[in-house]
Amino acid sequence: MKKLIMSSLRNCKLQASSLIESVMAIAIISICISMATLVYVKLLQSDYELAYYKAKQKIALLHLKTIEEQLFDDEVYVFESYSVTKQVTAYSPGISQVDFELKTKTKTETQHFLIKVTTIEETD
Amino acid sequence: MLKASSLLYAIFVCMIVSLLCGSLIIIFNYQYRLKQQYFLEEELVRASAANFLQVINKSEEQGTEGEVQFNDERFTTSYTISKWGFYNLVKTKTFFRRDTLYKSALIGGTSKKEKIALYLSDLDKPLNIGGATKIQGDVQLSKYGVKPAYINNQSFTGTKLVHGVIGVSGKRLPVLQQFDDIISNQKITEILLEELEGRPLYNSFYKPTIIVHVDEGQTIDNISLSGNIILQSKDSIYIGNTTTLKNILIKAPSVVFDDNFKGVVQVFAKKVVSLRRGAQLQYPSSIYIDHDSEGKIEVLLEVESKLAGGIVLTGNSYQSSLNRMVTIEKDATVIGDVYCYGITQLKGKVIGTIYTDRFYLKTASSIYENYIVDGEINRLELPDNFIGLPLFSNEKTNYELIKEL
Repeated sequence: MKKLIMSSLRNCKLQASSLIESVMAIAIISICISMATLVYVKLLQSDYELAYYKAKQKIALLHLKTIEEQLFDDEVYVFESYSVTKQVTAYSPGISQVDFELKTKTKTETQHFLIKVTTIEETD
Repeated sequence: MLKASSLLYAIFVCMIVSLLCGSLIIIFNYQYRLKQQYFLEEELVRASAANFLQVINKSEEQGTEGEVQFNDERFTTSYTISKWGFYNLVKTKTFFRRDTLYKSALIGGTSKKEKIALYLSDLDKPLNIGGATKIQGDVQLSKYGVKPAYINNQSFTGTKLVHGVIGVSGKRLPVLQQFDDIISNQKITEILLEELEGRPLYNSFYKPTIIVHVDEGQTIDNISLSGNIILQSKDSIYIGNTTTLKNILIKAPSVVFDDNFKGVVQVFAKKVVSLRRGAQLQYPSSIYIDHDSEGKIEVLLEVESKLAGGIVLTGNSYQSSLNRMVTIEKDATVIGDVYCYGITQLKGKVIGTIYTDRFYLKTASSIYENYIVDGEINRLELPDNFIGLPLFSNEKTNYELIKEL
């Protein structure tokens, strides 16, 4: 087996490159890879982060909770990677406007909702 | 022999890397645009829901069509309000650039705050209740009040005659509001039932109403009708339990629903509507008869049948009221209001309110007037957010969503 490999290496003739050629090649590859890394990092940065999706899910949950439990108080919810601020204003008779502002490290967004205010009947 | 030309290899590697980078950028760009489109659609849904709420909250003040906006001017919702049987039909269209969101729903009023279980016209006779009859909620009866009855060797077995406040009623039932048209859609397409050849038919509420004509006395089986459709006949219609009817209207003199039929329909009849054993008209269903005749006018709910919505049996003449009758058999249930300008025979259960001129009880041996035996009226069991039929005109009506279509 060893003999076979050695004989095949003997048959393969590799032409040497000049020093300048090798330096240029290394330079071109380095520039290319550094540009590729830059592009990749930029792409990762400009995408929506995981915290953003978590915050959106939380807002959906808080919105449903506000409807079901008729909670019309301003509140701030702070979590590890994001925060949600709830602000309630009267919109029209029987309707309240509820704004949820989400804040992550890179993004700030406000979602607006209208919620019907259910009047609770007084019982004897 | 392999050439060691490094520069050439370097350029080749560069090309591969740039191809990879390029494809990565393109994929990312498409994904980013897709996400933005998705978030925009989310925003459109939110705006549509908010604008829809504004429309139903003001539907009393607003005209039958218009436009509303919320928060910013990007999302405009145009709406139309029309009639669909007893209820109002709201259709909205919210659009932003090339995205359009349609939403249609039935809405109804919740003006009634009082918990009246029974309103019996004052015809100078007491209400007699026997057996395991249970009345929960306030009642308005004749000045002769309510008495325990002794029928078929059986006396009243309950603890209290009425679990609520007893008031005095008037000589006539409260006046119903006018129901002029069952639909306000002017555009209509007419077809014969035979033309469907057994194919299911769904018609959107954004399209002209389809009237499906049924031959006299024809039985309807193995067919599915859903949406903006009116099933119409000049005579009686018999609906088999293999038929699927959803959110449609039925207009015919007599309608019979077969054993174990299930569906959501609003029935507008002239003579008889009958729900056979185990038939279920699910919410929001209703039966409406407004007719004067010397013949029998009847709504019959047989054993174990159910109706969620309401029943209205009315007319103009007092003489005809003696021929109008609602019968709710044993183990049959009505959820909602029963308004009967005539006679009511109650052996089953009503979760809601009964408005009637008189009660009636037929046993094997005799007929009794103003008697209830083993029947139940329970107003307290009706959920607070239940939207019943809009029976009476009321200035202060809060509209609520019944069902999205």
